[in-house]
Amino acid sequence: MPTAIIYIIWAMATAGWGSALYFLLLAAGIPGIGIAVAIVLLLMGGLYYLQKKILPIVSFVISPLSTLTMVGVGVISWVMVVSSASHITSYGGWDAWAIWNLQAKYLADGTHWQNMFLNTRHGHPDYPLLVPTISAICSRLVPSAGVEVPAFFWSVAMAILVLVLLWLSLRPKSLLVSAWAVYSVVASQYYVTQATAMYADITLACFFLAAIQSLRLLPAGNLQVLLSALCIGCCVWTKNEGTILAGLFTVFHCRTLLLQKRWVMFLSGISLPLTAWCLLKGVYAPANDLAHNFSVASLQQLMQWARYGIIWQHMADTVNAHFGYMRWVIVLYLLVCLFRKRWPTATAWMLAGCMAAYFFIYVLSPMDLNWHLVTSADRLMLQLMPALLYVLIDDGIGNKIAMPQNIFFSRFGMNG
Amino acid sequence: MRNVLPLLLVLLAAMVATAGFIDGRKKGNDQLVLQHSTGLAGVQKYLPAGAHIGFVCTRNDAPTYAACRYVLAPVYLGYRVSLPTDTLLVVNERENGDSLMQQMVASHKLLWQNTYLGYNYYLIAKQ
Repeated sequence: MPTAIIYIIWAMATAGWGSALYFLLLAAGIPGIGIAVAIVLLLMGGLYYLQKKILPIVSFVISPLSTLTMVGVGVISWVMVVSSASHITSYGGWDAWAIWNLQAKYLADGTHWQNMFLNTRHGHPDYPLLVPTISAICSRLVPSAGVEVPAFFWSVAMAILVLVLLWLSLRPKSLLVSAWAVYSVVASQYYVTQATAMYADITLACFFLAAIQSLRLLPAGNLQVLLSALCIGCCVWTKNEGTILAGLFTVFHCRTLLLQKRWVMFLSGISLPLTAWCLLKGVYAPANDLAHNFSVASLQQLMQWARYGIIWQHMADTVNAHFGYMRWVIVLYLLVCLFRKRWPTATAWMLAGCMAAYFFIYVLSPMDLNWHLVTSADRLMLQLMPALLYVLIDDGIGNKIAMPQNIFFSRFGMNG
Repeated sequence: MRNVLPLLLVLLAAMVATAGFIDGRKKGNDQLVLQHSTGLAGVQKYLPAGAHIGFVCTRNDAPTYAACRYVLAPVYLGYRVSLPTDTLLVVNERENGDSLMQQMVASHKLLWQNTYLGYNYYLIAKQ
């Protein structure tokens, strides 16, 4: 794994842990100055752990990124800056000001933040709080910025990081394929629109992609489990769908994550975000609207075959409209599997399981099906597409890695 | 140090994009939230932080409610008049005017009012 990816994942996870810590301390009634000190200590501790415990393990004999790779990062960043300029709206999309930034405004008030849980009408106070707490922290540091400025910064940064993670992880395997993958994503108007919408879906997509890359690019060991767990914990703390993704990720990779006492490292990695999530769901948040309205009668919808057709058609239309490149990636991947006479990898099956889980959420949804699909299906696909793109390309190319030999790989062996 | 550069480049790019966002916000007046933010300018000084007040608007319009709720957060706006609150925020769309809302305003003590882009805003309290 390129060291640059470790820096990126560590920074993302530190932000996620900072947001969880903020919520826990807010709930404990700690004053603002105490919260600030705690977060600074967390940042310093994270930096120390990275420098002293993580980087020495992954030190390369020949480490620096190539100039071409660096230029690629620069080009990706510049393209996203230019593309995003024409999609700016003052307050983001509906979910930004009706849900995420609304929660941030409450969380930025150290005294009256619990008012947010009363907003059950046209609001979702049960949603996890990673993105709103990060906006709230920045808003308290710089009140004149409000919550929209940090929310926009975070949203665009996550969107660029998805592309950079794809580029850095696939570049060693193939320049052409990695460039095509990044181009396919960034050329999507839908992706750029979502990058500036200040929603939480791209954040979830980024953490989920990072979790998969941690698992696949690092050799078996504590570091692999720790980074994966950090990202999975942040998935849970980002959106309700993140809980489903985290659960399936853990189940499909349980041998790697939990056996041989690695469960200790796994629990360590998810501890803080999971604690914050449990506190939110167990003490403060009202029931999720889907869960609340679900009844035994909803199970009868499993036998309503027309629903399956409607959902399938809508998802197919969504993929065609916003993620057309994935059709070819999936077809080519299946052909490669057929040619090599190999089943898809566990991670590919996991992603299929995530799609199936989302599918059955719609089958069982107590809400009007068409309304539910129109308002959410595209964003659910967005959460999975970067990871799916990476896994299918990575599996399709195989273990042909054009990287220099170094102590790290010669010691642990190359595992894809 | 070179390995940190990708992260720093991304953060720099996000900052540049955010600078564009800040600049764009100054020029735009394109959204419902911005409209009601301007209409409700000045009401905050009549509302203590964390107040719970009721909310009534023409046709019980959900986007209007959501936008006003966002503008006034962390004040809590109780949807419709279901809350046993002393204070109400009334947002009346002039084109689709509701006489009952006008009667409600007339029968309460008026704390604050404003008019902006086709909307009348009233902060009223029980006599």
